[in-house]
Amino acid sequence: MENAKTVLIVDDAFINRALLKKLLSDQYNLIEAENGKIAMDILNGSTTVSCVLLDLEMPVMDGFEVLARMRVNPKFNKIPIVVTTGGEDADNEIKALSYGAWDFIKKPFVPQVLRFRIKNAIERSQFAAFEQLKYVAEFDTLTDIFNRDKFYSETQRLISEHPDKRFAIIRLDINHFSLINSFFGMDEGNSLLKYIAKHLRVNTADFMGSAFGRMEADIFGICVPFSDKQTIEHFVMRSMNALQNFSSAYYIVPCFGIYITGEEDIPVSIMFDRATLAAKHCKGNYVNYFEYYNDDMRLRIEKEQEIVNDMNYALQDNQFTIYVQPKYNVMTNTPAGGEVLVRWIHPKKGMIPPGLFIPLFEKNGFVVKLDAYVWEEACKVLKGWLNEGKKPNPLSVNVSRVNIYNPHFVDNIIKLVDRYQVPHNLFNIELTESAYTDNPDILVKTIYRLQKEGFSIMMDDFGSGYSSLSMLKNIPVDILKIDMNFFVDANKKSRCESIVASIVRMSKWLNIPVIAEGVENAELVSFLREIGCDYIQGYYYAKPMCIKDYERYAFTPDSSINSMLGSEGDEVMTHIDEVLGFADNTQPVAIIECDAHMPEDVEIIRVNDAFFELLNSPTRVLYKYNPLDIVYERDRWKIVESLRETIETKASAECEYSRYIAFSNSYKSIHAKFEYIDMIGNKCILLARLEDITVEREFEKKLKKLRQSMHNQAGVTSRMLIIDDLEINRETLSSFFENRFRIFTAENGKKALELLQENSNMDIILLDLNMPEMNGEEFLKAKNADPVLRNIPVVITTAEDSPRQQQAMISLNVNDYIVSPFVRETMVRRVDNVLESDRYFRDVINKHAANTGIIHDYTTGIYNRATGEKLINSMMQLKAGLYAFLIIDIDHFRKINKESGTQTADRMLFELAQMLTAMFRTNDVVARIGDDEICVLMSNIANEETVDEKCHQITEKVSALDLKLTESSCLSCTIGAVVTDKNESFDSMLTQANDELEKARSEGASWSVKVIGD
Amino acid sequence: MDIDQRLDKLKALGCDVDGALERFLGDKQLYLTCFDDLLADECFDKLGAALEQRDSKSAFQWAHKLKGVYANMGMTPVLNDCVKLVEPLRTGEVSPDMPPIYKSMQDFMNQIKQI
Repeated sequence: MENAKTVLIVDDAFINRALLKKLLSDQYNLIEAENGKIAMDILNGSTTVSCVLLDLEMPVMDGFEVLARMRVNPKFNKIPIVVTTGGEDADNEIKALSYGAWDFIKKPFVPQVLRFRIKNAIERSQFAAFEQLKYVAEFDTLTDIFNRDKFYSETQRLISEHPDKRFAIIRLDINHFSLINSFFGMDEGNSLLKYIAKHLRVNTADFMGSAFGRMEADIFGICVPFSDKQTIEHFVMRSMNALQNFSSAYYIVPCFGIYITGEEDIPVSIMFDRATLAAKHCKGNYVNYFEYYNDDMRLRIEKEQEIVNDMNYALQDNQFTIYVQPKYNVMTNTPAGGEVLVRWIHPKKGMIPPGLFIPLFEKNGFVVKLDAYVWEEACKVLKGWLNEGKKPNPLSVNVSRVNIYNPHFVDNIIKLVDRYQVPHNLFNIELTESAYTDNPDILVKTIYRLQKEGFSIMMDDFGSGYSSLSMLKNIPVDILKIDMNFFVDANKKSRCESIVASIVRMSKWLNIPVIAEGVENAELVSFLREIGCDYIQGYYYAKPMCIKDYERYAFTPDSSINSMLGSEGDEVMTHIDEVLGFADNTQPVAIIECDAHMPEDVEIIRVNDAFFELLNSPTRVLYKYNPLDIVYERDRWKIVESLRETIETKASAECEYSRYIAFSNSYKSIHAKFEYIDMIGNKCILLARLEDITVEREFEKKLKKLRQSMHNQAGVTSRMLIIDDLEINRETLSSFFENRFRIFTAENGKKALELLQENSNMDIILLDLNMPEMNGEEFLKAKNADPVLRNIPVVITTAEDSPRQQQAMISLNVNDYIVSPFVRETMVRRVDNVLESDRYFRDVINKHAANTGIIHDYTTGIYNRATGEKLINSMMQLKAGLYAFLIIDIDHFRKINKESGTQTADRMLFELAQMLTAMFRTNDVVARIGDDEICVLMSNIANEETVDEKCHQITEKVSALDLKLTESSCLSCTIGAVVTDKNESFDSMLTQANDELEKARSEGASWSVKVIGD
Repeated sequence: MDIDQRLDKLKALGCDVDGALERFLGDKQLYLTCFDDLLADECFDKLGAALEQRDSKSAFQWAHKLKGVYANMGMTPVLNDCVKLVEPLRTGEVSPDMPPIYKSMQDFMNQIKQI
């Protein structure tokens, strides 16, 4: 039988096998196995088995063993197994079920039942052959775990099914894996890969809902739920340890790139790309074997690509412009030439800082062209000045180290400079120290030749590389440049100072002048002066400036630093320092500079520690692009407008915006206040004070949503809408939930929408997909388009379970997906999960609220305990006559919570809080102080009887609250109250009121009032 | 002796031949072939040996196997005896009343062999 499915009969009794063959051979291809071991061999062979008929008691390998082995093997765990039993041993049946058996057939066999069971089992398994194909399509054959496609789709499914959860997408690979293959052979490599797969299987088992697969070669993908970094890092650690145990012959150095999912809705493949990007950051680094992705990584790559795309045209188009940063002789107080720097003025992107493109050009070689361009521009400028009869100081140009390898480098320079008839002593050359480490011989030769030709050589970034001081013995440089940024470290200030002082002193002995670069404040200047540093280059004196500005600076007779910064230059810096110093440990503050006419042209100049904390930036590095780039696009104008206002009014302006936080991949709401400091040229210096208001905004958002949904509830019973065209399904589902929900039903999407017009207050909808008139998909679209209905959670209940269909539905914003046949436990669990996820969020918010100055309780909308306590304590100090403090405790709250569900209990608390708020005066304080406890402070009351009367009213009203909680019980409460005219503290009143409460309880009364403090 | 005569004899010994034949889709020849195989099988002897050695584990295995086979073959009298063995054996106990039960099964099998 060509197309017949194959059934594997596993039974040690020949007669049973003969009988089964007799009964099944007309419909199936049959294979026999007389024990479990033979059966496993057959399964592992090439035959595709659609169903296994399995006896339990067998020699060699029994049925349980077969079940267990088949279950753990993804190749087999979809093959239905029908167990043949004696029928009298229920324990064995349960055991077999728990081992993964699909069904039972009792001996003696009943032919019809036998055939029916096998047919059902095979059909239910969705055709074993298809499954097998699917296996090949979805699994990596070497390691038996998911392949790339399946890993992606499985991860997508996890993410879609748990929109409330975050996941870590981890890329794992082995550094220099190919070496293991070539040193120890392919088999060793393969067994390492299998070992990793096995380890992942074990190690991910601790996570609820995870996926992993082999992408290619030695690259694995892992997706696990993300709760905190510690858990993820623990996982990484365990993986590390496991890998170290694989072989004692060599070290395995893995590398983990980690992407944490967040609000960005991107395909899994992109997430994995990002994990890969993160992994690149720890490649080749034996200490740091894992790295989290942050958006800066991606932005950098994207920016880099843009830059590469534009560079050639930019050069032709003269977009590169030279700037000069003046050097200043601190001994003589005179300008001393300048360093030529390149700026890229992009027609669309504005000025691109060199830090963004120079390293890139160094990598791709373009820097050679750019260098030549800059040198020529510098020559043109010098030539221009000479032609005008000016006496310029020298300009220095940078020479990237690749140039050193060009044998024509020196000739080219000479040719160029001579073409413009520029004296060689005006054209200084800056080489980086790293060029020396690359190839000292060539460098030394080059320098000698250049010096012979009359060029001065500066050693750039001295002390930043690996070279030793002995370099100075070999290389006769003319000037040393030290970058102060390498030595500025507040924590090791004295050490840094010693190093700098030593370098300067040593260079004095060698007769080599020193230029200190990156000098930004007065303190540093006076320090450098003290230690005898000759030249200073830095923002403190002058920023890099365009040629025009430089000319004004260099050739104005009384040129001085102050003329550049304005006379109050020092003052500005001092003021800034004061502000920053003041704000050091408190509020995030940034000094920003923006163009007076184009405020969107912003640059962050300095920030304090708190600013980095706000950014969650672990690196504490300010990236040099426009800070507006990371502000939520929709909000950028707000900042620009505030900046404009600040500049115009020379005062201050405030705004609120969302900012993308790359490190945690989330948005933060930020309140910003900009204060005007000063104008320098057409640049405006501003102070920005920032405040993180994310929690407040999130809380408000959630509260609004909750209020709305509560408002929508007429009663307190939860409501469920079941939409299904089959009456039997509607009835089944109703029966699962009728004890907990008020059930509404509709037989198609259209009817459901009509019903929802009248009853928009559903808590949850169970939705079938295939229905006449309006199917589930159309219904969902209509529902999502309706703002009132949009937030009602939906669980799909359907017989259709193709992955495509499920994907389509998840994209329509459904909360869960259940495939029939419906199992009560599963249904109830899923519905609870959907409803509980919201509840969980609120608990977290409430807890958080207590710590962060949020004043309202999330569930009830009245004051929370912290606020209540504060208000009551301050009210008491007003000494407003006689006070009463009441504690209202809901009786049997736990039981209600347990029996009716937290949803109902919450709604009850909400109703109760609303009722109490209405019963008291606005000056009275009503606050939730415990799960089921609400306290009230009444001030200025007439006498004790007023309180007695109030307690009576409360208990009456509470029992009158028609909450339809449970049929048997109605709501009641017990009140403890104290009355006083003394300044009692909240705590003291609480304790005494609680005593009264207990007293009432023990006496069977509803309330008890006591006068205290006399 | 033709097929039907043999079947009648089995019936006379208390076997549920009709029920079993239904199970065998009326294939009398196969049914009787299975009988021959059963008589040639060592299972039954092994059960006896295991009982003698008070090896409850293998005794259970053989008894359990035979029980399934007897049920399918409709061998009611010996099936009833066998059931009496299986359950106590499952708990790992070889009790003194087992050898007599085995003896009674042996007698029955001998009668079948005569046919």
